[in-house]
Amino acid sequence: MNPNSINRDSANRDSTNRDSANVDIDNLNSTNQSTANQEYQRQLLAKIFNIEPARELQLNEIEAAKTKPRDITTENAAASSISLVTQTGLNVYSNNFIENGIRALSITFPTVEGFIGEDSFRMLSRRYLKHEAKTSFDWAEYGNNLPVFIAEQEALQEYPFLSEVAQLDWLIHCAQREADKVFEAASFALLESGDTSVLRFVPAPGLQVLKFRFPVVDLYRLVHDPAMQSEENKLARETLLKEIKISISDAINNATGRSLILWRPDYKAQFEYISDAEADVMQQLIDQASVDTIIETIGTHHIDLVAWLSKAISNKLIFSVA
Amino acid sequence: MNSNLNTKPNSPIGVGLRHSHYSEALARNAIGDDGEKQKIDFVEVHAENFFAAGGATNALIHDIAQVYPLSVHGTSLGLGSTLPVPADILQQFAKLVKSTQAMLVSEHLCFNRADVNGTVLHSGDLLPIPYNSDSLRTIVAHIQQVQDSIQRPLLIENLSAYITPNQLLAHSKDDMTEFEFLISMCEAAGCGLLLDLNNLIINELNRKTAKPLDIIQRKLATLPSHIVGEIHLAGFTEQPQAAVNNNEDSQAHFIIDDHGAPVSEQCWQLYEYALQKFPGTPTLVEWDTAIPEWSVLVNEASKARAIAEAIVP
Repeated sequence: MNPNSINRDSANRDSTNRDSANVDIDNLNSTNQSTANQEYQRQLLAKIFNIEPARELQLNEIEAAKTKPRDITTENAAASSISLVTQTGLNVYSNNFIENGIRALSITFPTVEGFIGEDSFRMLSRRYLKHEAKTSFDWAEYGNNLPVFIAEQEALQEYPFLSEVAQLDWLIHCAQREADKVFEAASFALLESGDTSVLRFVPAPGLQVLKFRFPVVDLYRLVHDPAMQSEENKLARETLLKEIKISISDAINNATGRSLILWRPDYKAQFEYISDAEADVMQQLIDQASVDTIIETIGTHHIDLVAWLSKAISNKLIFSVA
Repeated sequence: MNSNLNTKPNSPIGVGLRHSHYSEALARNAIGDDGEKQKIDFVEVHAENFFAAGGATNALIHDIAQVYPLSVHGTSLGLGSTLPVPADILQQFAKLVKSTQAMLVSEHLCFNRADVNGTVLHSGDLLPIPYNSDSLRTIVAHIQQVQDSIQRPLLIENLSAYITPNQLLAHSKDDMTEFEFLISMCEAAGCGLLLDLNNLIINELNRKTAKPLDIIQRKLATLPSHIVGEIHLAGFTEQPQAAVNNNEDSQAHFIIDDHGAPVSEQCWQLYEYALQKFPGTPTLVEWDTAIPEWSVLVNEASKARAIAEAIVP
């Protein structure tokens, strides 16, 4: 194609179109500009996402074909040139989408990448990006059902725990973006002076009770704990690996999950296993049961109230009483 | 536009601040290799990186704003989209602008989303729009909506693009040039122009224009000086071109706007020319991939400063 035919500016301007070879102006006078703009945007997105052309796309392709120049000697050459240049341009956008997506997913799912390695993670991300359209403005909000997608991948069957690891990655990521809360130590004095039938504990940002079959805490530690990566701690790493293998085997043979609590005391999310009794108490707290109700549940489970409250405050599981 | 910018006494020089440089950039009094205090007048951040409701990034942006005047650069509003700007995204953008008291606020001349088979899909990219009256009406309305929300003018950045709309859809055609569109947009919306010189260069190189800098200078000459509110400088990575069989293959080879290299020689030349026409314009060096040491970025800013200081308005 002549480079000047796609020049947009008056310095080289010889028509109102950037690619005059592709347009027959006489046949387009009735075309609504607004509709054309919408249709162009729709088509470009469909191309980037490699989505099957919808009805309007096919119609416009027919229209475009009808309006091509009648000069038989140049028609084929022009069509193939336009096709190649256009496709190359589209490839740039498609590649951008894939690369941006891989980068975003690797930030959101660092533990998954840690287990399967960069190359496999890129392959997994490519498949997911083709399977799951991006409907959010922010890449940070993309990936919520990657755990389910992983569980469905036959190629990842050697990592039966990977879906749960991905779930933990996603929940950590979300907790770390939750709105901040102010820790109000003085408010806990209300437990002495206030009406505990109406008072409620204000939970930490992102506080939630979860259940995992696989040993996600140890799996996370294996990837992220600097001590586990060093040569000096090779023995400790091997011991942890042995424990993990036993836990994975137990998880496969026994479907019962283990309760885990996740919360964000400051900027970094934390998580730890808790007993089912503690999980029951925490779930009530999250559901905003009154302090009285929570104290009653603590008693039912024979948990030491003072020790529980002290730990909940010092670990910033609860931020205040209101 | 910021009235301080219209007087244009000296060009403030800034750099794009990316994750790997946060610590060094926050050490405001850091001394460079040459023993001199590193002078950066402002930093640009991508708005979406700080959209989280809370957490570390939220605290970080306010720490940065304590040390540097900020340029908040949006990349996701897609103001040229025929779909409306969602209220919640606009609210996040406005909240960031207001809470950081940004010195400059900018977005792009692009669209990024569309309704495809009943679902609104987001490309996460900056996609070109046709330069026609309908596009102009759309983007002007969206710019004004954003400006109403943030209570200040926006700067809109010209785009590098790898397709033209009518390549994809014959009906989607231009009825004005890029620069005619930019000028009309600024006049109608009351916004300013973020003049990205690297984008102009990449577009001309991809068009295989014989004398790209001459062409660009002629275009710049058409711009009223009062609309240019910021200049972006950047480099690009020369990509190895596969053996080409013919002219068609050659045309299909694109330079990618990757911001992955030092500011190009062409860009420095063009900057010198641009500053003569738009003296005192705040200038930013972008470097987004293959990010170098902070000191390398600071050196690029120093080069920009040397050019700016040599310009006599």
